[in-house]
Amino acid sequence: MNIGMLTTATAQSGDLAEVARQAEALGYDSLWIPEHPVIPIGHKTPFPASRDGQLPEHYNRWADPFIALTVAAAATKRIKLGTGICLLPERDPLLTAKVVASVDLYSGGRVILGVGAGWLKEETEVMGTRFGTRWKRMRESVEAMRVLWTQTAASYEGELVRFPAVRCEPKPVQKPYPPVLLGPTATRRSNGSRARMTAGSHWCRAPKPLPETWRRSGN
Amino acid sequence: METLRKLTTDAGRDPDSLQVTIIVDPRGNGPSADDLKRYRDAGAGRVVVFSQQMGTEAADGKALELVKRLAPVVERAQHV
Repeated sequence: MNIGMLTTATAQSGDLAEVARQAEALGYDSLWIPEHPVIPIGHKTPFPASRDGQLPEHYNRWADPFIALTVAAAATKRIKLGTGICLLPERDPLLTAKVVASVDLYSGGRVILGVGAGWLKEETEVMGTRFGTRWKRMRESVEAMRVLWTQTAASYEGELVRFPAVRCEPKPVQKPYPPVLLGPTATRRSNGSRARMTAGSHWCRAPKPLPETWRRSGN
Repeated sequence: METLRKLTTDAGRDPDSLQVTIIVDPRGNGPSADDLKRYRDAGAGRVVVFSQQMGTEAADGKALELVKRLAPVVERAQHV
């Protein structure tokens, strides 16, 4: 059984490179970094992981996960580097494909892309995506990135994501591309402890269109 | 996990091809060896330890301490 650790990365977190080095030395198989690009001030959406709905203050301070994972990659040799999770609908898939491939290149093929659709409506919308279409946008983004990672001339025509033929390099070191883990929420009780059975992370509420998302989202 | 496998099969995909990672609140010392075996037997290939409390502690300078504190979970997992 592999053991990973998910840690937040802020300006106050300390030396992330040393955290990664220690995690590798102690035998953890993976280090995971979460994402919230911005937290809209005054948002009304309750935080689903607390009883009072209040979002912990440190969520406002998270560093970009791919930059944090690059710091970890430069300090280590073996440990896998995961996003837990990347809010894909809030990102440009062309740029994200490039970033993921680049981190995979410089880490020697150690990236795991955990993706989720997000729960904070105000954040999704301030980042430019309609909340109601976030799962569709996420699915199309994954499909588009798979094309970008594997084809020399990559094009994609979805409802929400589309672009003409482009070159997007470097390609990922992992073939055909890094693992893409989907992070829906499904909570259950196991041996008295609360475990969230996921394919990536636990940040997102259980999506109604899960079967369709599951069918199309890759790994 | 049965639901996950059914959804995957219904979607025309091989459920054995999935990588399943679960996130577990360590609640102190982390999952026991028996817990880890149960997760393994359920089909999980990886356990990621995390809690909201850990997130707060890591954000405020205790990430390195957490890595060391939960290292016994890694040792337990070597026998699972």
